[in-house]
Amino acid sequence: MKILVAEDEPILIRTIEVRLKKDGYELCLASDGQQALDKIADFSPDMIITDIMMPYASGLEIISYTRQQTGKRTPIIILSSMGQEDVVLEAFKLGADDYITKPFSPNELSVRVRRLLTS
Amino acid sequence: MAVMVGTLLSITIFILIYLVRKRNHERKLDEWRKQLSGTLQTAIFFESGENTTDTIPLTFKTMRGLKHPAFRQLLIDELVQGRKSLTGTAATNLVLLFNQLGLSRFSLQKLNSRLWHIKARGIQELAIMEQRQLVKRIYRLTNARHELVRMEAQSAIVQLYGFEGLRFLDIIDTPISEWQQITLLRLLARMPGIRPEKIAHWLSSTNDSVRIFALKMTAEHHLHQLHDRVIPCLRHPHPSVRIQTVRCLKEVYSDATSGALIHVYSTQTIPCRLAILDLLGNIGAPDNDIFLAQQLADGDDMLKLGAARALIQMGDAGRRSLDEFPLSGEYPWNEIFQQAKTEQTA
Repeated sequence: MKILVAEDEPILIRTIEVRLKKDGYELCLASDGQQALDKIADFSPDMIITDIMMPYASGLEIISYTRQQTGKRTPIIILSSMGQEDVVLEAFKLGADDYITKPFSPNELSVRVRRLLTS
Repeated sequence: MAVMVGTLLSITIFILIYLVRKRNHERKLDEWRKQLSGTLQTAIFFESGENTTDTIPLTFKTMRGLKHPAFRQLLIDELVQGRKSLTGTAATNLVLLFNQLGLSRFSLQKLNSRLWHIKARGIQELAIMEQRQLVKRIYRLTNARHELVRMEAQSAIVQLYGFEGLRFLDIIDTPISEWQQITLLRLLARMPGIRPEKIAHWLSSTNDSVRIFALKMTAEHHLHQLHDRVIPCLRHPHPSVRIQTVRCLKEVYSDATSGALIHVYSTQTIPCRLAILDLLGNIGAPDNDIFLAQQLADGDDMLKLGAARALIQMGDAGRRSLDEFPLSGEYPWNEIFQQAKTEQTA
């Protein structure tokens, strides 16, 4: 299974990478929104985990692109900060499947990824 | 000419040396960041056994790097960032590493700095890394002369001790800014253990901003049992306390609220009167419409509009009072009533 992770915080992206690689997933990392958009077509991920606030393109733009341009039903988990409830709702409207609020536990993320990929 | 060439040459050499040093420093930082990334991941995914004295294994390179102040600061920054972004065992392990390396003494040294931003940074590091044993040092700064140091210390104490940390409200003689009140309320929202008797005590504080903050906490937590302690604040000499009292009563009103509001109404400022009218409409007690209808005859058009809005808020009975007002067909009442009704339907 291939997962694309878009997150601009170095410690978080590395932690997600280590945790999900341990679970046996193949990962592709993007440290900003534009990189993520570029990699969606090349990498054809089975799941996307994206932060909302990122440079060059936001998580919302990534969701829109995935749903409208690729036409695929790739599961998407969004990483949001506390107090971003409105943006989370917008993300769900655009087609996100789940969200996790920062700060979060890497183990919790792992469980959510597994659940979404097996459902 | 020779002097000019010499000067230009010196400047060029200086710039070149500066750029080379800067590039070397940035390379070094990148190298350290890569090295620390491994260290942090070891810590984040460290699984301690039953023995609580377990230590996170570190490479010789990392241990050696710790002698270098810039490397140490980079590690502290990464730990703080990680602690802010992660929860659970991962977060606990980052604090464990901070403690294992004795990094608190370096954050503590910052508290002695004469520069406010370094002091504030030290406080933030100690709070995020849960250094509760140093609470006394931080507590002293909750009444510091520099506002930003003070704010950082107050937030740190609340972060570490939740509601109990608010005991600095007993001693501060400086005002708590509006922004700081929002920050503290946000921090407290995530923590249990509100003590209404302490809030009741702050409702009679001599520090106006403490009193306002206590009113906000009363409203936020819907502490109806403090209603009778809130009412006397309507007579406070400062208008900002009085208006906050009205806002607070909106969240904790009882059968006695309308009477108390009507009683003090005539002594209030215009903004406070408008807030009272709005609250009376919101409460919607049967007798309120008589008082509100009387206010339609006030000389101030804003108060007329406030009373009309409040009557509309009350529903059918209020609307009837508006229609039955003897001057409802005359200017400016006709326009004011129309405005209030349009707002309601919008």
